Amino acid sequence: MICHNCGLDVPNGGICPSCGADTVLMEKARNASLRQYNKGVALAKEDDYSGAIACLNRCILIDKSNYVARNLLGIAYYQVGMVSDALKQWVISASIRSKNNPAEKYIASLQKNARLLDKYNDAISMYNNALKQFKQGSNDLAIIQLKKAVNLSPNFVEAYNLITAYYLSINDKFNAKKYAAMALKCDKRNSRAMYYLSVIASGSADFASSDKNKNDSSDGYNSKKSLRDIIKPEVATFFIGAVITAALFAVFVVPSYIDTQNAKITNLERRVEELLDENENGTSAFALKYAKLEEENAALKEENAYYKNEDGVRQQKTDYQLSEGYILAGRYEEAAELLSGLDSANFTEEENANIQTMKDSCYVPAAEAVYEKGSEAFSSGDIAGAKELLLKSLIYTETADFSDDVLYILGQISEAEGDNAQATEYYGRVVNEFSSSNVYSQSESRLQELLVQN
Amino acid sequence: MINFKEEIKKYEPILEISEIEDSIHSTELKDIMDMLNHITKKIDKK
Repeated sequence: MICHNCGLDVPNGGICPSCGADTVLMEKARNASLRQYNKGVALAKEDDYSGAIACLNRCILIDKSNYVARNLLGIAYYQVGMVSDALKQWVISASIRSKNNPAEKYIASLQKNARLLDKYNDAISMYNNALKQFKQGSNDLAIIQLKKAVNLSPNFVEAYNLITAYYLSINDKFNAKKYAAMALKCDKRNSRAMYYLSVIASGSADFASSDKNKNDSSDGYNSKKSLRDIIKPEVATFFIGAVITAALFAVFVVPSYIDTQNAKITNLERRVEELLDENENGTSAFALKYAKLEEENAALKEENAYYKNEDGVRQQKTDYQLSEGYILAGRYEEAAELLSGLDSANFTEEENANIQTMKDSCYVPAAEAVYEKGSEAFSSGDIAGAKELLLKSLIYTETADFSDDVLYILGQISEAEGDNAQATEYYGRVVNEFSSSNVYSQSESRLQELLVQN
Repeated sequence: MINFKEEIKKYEPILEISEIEDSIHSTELKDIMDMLNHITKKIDKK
């Protein structure tokens, strides 16, 4: 075992024969120092510089000659804006070991940038002045100094903390939170900044309630609190509030809504029953309206029929007058057409007598005219046209001297249509009514043939 | 929200560059190992 005091090799440990140091105790102390150093390194890597500073200070308290720890301690101080403390550690480190010691480089880099060093130094002076001004009660001046200090040295964690403390004291939570966050940005687990955030979150200044059974840093604050611990109460409060609101809604609002909807359903069902009843006994608005429309329709139909009838009578009167004109003009066929359509009910007795007189004068010539047309049509093969004309001729007269021809042709037409019964009738009439007819023998012959067939 | 006067007491002035030299000189640079040595020697003498 090497004696750390004088460097002598002491086999099996024990008291060093050269300097009298207890090598075992020294070894244990050194190991303890190294443990603190390793812890400091780990914290520094996590940007927990205040934690690293505490561990490294314990390290050099045990072993003042650990220049590596002093170098790291200086870096940690530099990172939180305490440049003078950083320089102090590097100077001491350089004095412990001058060769192959990066402390010299650190010092040189600062000295090269004198302007930067001045800025850092001014920031520290302003901080110290602000502290005095706060103690004297000149808070406004102090806060101005501190804000200038952090402008010059943006990593100045203690200055941020002091500003935060001031804003907390005047209940300005917004600014307090802002500056506490800026401190934590430089030093991730700065216990003072985290404590201030917890005060903002809880709204309480109860120092006794802060958790001290974890790793306390040298300034008495819990250095292990995380932001998650601070935010948790707010999240829990939100969820509790949401659950309570939902419960109140379910208890007070939902039943009332259901009752309202049930009442609506009951009303609608009752209305449906009323409407069905009205429809059945015809008292519904629809039924009443329908009945009224039916009445109006019937009245309109009656009126329409009356006007149609009036119009018909008017037309009859017109035809009567026209037929007089046609007869005077010798247009017997047209006169007969009109006269055959006249209804005696629409005329007076005198008019009816006149109508009969007109018929007597025009019917026979008209019948002859249509017979001739019908005969021509029959000859040309227009059976339907011939039948119509010949039947009209019979309407006008059945006893003219050409009526036998009319009957004979109609008999032929009926045969052609396959209506033997009708043909038999026509031929029979010729035979019975026109014994001296020119078509008597033909009619008789056809009649006999038809009777044999039947 | 906090007692500012009490809180201020926790803050210490920070070393300025002009004070580094005096600070180093005034530091005795004794550590626990020195104390252990001192104690061990005292015990031996006894």
